Amino acid sequence: MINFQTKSLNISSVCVAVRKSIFIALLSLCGLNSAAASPQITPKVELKSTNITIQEFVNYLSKETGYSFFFKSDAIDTKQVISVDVESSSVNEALDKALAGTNLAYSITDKNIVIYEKAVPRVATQSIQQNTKTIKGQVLDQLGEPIIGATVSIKGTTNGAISDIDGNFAINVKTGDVIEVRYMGYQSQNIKYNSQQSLKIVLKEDSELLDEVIVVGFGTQKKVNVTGSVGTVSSKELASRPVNNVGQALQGVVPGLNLSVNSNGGMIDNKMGINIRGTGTIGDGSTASPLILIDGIEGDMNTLAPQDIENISVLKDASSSAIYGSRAAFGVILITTKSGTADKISVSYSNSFRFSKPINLPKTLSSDKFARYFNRAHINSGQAALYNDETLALIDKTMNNDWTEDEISKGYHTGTQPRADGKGWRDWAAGYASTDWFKEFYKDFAFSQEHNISVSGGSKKVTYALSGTFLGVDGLLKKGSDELQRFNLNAKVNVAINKYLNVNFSSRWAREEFDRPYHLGGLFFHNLSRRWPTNAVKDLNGHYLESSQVSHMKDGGVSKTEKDWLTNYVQIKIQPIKDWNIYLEGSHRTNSDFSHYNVLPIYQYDLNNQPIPISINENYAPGESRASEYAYKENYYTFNGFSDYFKQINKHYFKVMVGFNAELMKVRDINARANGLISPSVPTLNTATTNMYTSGGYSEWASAGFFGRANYNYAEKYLVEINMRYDGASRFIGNERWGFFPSFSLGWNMANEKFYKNYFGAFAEAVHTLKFRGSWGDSGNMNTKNWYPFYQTLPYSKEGSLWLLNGERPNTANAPGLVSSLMTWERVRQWNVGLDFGAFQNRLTGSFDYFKRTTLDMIGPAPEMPSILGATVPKVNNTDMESYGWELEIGWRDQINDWSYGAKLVLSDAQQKITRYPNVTKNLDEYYSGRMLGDIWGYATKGIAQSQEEMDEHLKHNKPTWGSNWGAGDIMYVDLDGDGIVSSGSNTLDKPGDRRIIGNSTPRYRYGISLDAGYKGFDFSMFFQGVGKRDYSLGGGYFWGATGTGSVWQSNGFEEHWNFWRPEGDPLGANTDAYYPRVALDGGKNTYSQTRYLQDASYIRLKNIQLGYTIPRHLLEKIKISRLRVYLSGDNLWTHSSISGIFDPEALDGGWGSGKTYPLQKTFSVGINVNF
Amino acid sequence: MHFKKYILCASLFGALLGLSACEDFLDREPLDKVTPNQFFNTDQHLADYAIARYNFSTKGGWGVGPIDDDTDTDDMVARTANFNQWVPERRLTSQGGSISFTTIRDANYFFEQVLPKYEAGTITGSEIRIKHFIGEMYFMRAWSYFEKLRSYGDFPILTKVLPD
Repeated sequence: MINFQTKSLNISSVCVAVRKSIFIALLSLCGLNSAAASPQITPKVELKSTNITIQEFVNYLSKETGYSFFFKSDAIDTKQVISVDVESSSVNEALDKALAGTNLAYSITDKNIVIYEKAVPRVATQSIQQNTKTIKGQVLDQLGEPIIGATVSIKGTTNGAISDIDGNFAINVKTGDVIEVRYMGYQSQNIKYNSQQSLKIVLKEDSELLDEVIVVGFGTQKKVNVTGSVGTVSSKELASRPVNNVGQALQGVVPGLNLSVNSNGGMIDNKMGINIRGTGTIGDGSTASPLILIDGIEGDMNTLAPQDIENISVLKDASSSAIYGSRAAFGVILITTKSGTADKISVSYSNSFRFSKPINLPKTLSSDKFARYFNRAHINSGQAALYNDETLALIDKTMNNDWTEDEISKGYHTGTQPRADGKGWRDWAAGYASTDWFKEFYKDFAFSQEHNISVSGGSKKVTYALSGTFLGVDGLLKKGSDELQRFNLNAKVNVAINKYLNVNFSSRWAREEFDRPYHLGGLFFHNLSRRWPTNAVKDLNGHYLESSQVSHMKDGGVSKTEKDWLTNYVQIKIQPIKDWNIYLEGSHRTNSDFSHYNVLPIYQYDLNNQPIPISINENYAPGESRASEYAYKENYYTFNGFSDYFKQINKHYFKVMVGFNAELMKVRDINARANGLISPSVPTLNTATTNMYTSGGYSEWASAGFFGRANYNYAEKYLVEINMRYDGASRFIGNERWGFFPSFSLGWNMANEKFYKNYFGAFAEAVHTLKFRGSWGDSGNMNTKNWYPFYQTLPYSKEGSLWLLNGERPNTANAPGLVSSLMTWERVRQWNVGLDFGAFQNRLTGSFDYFKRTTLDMIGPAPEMPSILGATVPKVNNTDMESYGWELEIGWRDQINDWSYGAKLVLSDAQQKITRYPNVTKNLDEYYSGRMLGDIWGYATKGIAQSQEEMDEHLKHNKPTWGSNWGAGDIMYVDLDGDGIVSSGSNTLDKPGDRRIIGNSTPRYRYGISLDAGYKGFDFSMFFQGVGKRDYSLGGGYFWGATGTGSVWQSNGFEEHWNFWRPEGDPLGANTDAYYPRVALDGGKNTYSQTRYLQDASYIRLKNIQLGYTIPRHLLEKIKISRLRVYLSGDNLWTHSSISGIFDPEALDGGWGSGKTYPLQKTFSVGINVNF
Repeated sequence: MHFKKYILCASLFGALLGLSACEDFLDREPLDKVTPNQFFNTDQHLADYAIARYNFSTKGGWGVGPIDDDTDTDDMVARTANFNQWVPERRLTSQGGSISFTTIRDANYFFEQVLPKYEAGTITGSEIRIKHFIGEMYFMRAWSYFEKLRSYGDFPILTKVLPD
């Protein structure tokens, strides 16, 4: 019998055998991210046996040390018996001793050991050569760089070789053999040998490998050992996207990480709204944004240049984010920026030049149709026609360009002329121009560019990375201009002082400058949508008409914002003994925001060409001017001190971490403005004369937390993690200040079980990674909107009194509002179950998660109290909500000869349900217990009545309680509750009348699909993003045109609106199969929320398509370039959605009503990436 | 082993020290707002508070003022009788409007804050003015009760600020 005894076993090192450069990059990455990478321990071998074959010995060594063994030739007698007697030896010592008595020798490269004969007997060689021959080959990566240390073996034999420094290898093969080439971090490749003279093998990098290390809270972890729900993004997924900020590039990349366009639409400085797993809170008291950490320090990801990002981890469930405590109750996004690599100086430059074009702009009706449409609206409402016959005739002349010489010489063909009464220019209902207001204000193409340069490198002791980025974006505005510029400058240095001490320092600066016309805002978009095409842009003297808004945009003043972010970070890492690390981190970030706006006097001109001041909006008198300055400064300090210790006893793996975190935020601001500028060309406070106004103040918050984490795993099979955090927040006082938040998670790597391979046979062969995991956690949310929710403050107003005392208005003070004595933390509980799998040599990988997150004790409406209280009743924690859903991610990656290709699908769903809300009557205008967030209540529609008879018949049993004069062309609502009338009942859940839940506006089944392929130097990728299900109830003039609005002034006339109901024989042409009901300014009897007009807001959008070509290395060597890629990239090039063509399915919200926002853009870009 | 114990003790001690230091670190009061303990310290504070209580009108909105306000009282009889408020021998409780205790609470809050300070002599400023504004607030509370009495008859007398 052989008696194997082992003292210490192979330690799984996180970074084994990754290609050298990546290996080092990862190491330094780990270092900079407080990585607690498990150390590489030299395996010790202990074995005593006098009766063991070489094969058995090698098997044993392989099993115990993790090394792979290859026999260089089949001729080696592996049954040869040897005698081994080693105790606590290294692999080298063991092999030296064991092979001492044989004719064998060995060589070690990385973790591969090749055993060969010292002198090969001639006879044997000849006998081999009869059916096998030695061929040479080379292993290269996709860029043509040699791969050193790749394992080349013949399948089913122990015959193998290792590639040398030039990637070359030699191996004995015979026709029909399958040659397997393996290398860590790359996908393995099998090649059938068909008597080629030589082999050239190109390996493709594999980012999906499960030996991957991912960044988690205060450390890193092998992906196989992660028990929480963590999504990752590599720099590749962000590469070469022509986006204005990182958020735009992250949309649809990680399941459960949701990014959506807010009401500012495609405004060039706009950042996307972000949440993890859907809406987190509906409370009045708090916000539920994910915590975003850049290199461990809270920051704004949109201030980063996408090129500077190395990777991103999204911590979705409670157990993975719990270590960050009550700042992170709704998930964490960890962003790691790029670091330097030892012994490799790399200089790279990339750029992109972009052209953006507005998409999904509404198409305004042509003037002739528009006038008749609005006339019809007036007539159907019992009013006189809006456009008289004379104007209609002029409109037709405009459309047909049918002007006399005389009219042209007077300029009348431009769409306006003096009014007959001499009181100004003809516009609105007297105008007859043909103007497309969207074209008037938006360019067809806007240009922007981005440049990024980075230098990184280092020695064994010091590594560094420097980078700088410039982004310059021109907006779409034609009248006035909007421009965005962003500058980034980063430096990162890592110094290994000695064996025990390591210091990291990084500094990051970002500046964003954004200029726009003061008038560019909600009112502009609102007005733009309701400017009539019959309005001319200019009067006959060449001045802009008031109605055009052009003076407002061009001359009405500008708004300029300059924001800076400067972050400095220092980390000291101490390693007193092996496997024990102490980290001390300090950082300071200062943000400043200096904003200026000015309002300048603008004019229209009368018939005598004399200026008349006009007002820019309702806040300014005509001719009023103003200068306003705003200054904001934020100082944010963080200290983290934490320590981890790692211990392995046999197959038991322990890791503990404890730490302390403190954060302090201090902000201050000053606001000043004054009216009456002396000269519009000097819009400053010093040159303004009236209505001085100032304000300013200070605020602070602080938090402190103690945390601990313990990890245990047995043979990477059974995984346990426990997190605890004890958090204190300045926002809470007294007994409420501190909260304790525990979480735990469990994992089971089923594929590591013996029985798995035994019982699941072929399935187990294919699916070689299979892990189940589950987690639970409880957290609090400290992100209250008010930083001082517990403090009573006295409302004090300057000159607040309505009385005059001695000719002045005195100041006033009032009693402070009440703070509820019951107020407490909002709490968040979440559980998560999931599984990860890898199959077919990791060509197929995927994961699935199901979660349920409960937000408890949100601040809801105040309870009823007797009026004897004499004050506004304070709000209390009385609302609960549940969020549940799932996430799926599946990827496929493979290589066939020179072709490599991959596909990835991410799909997620989340919905929210109110489980407690103080709405006893269940009034439908408010939340109530059981309501799904986003529920749309509405009536059922039978259709449009084609005749008065049909309507009368319908009304007999379905008479709405609203509206009158129901007739042909009106909507027929359906009575559902059988009482003969259509009503809203008592507007409660129990008596909703004839309304039902007809849809839900929560975006469901959000997905991203990426497809990519590479052939030699070419790479191609497509990325689709979309929402699978979403209902939307659109309202307002943008959707309804002139139907149902109160007056023509709030109405629109787009091409879609022409599809309104017209009976047979109508002068405008019959349209009995119309989408919209007959048009009338009747206050909306036809426009109630209803099934007929419920929109399907789901969409699929080609977010990015990219074609790149990497020029072969040998062509570039002479010009000292190591890599050059040129590419074409396009964003938002194609969209499909069933929603009304007036709207963009992603930009439905607008400050002044659905759709009234800055258009989104499609972008074409071209650029290069060069590495020197 | 001793070494480990020391580390354990030191870190426990550190944590305790940290906790108490944390409390100071976490105590953050509003910096640009007036909190109750910073107010009612000068006669001007009292003036600002008292003047804000004069928020009733002598003449309501578009109405003609006191002339019309006397309608339906025993000073003036309108042409049509008002049976909502008046029945023979008795006045009915108002059917509309809110039973607001706001002014009463505001006054009580004032007394709770000011009277102890006044008695302790910690309010700076003219004694005459201080007394004047305390007097005004007594008047405001009395006025408010008078209004309630006119509207409702019996009405609960409150001389304290109620908690929620």
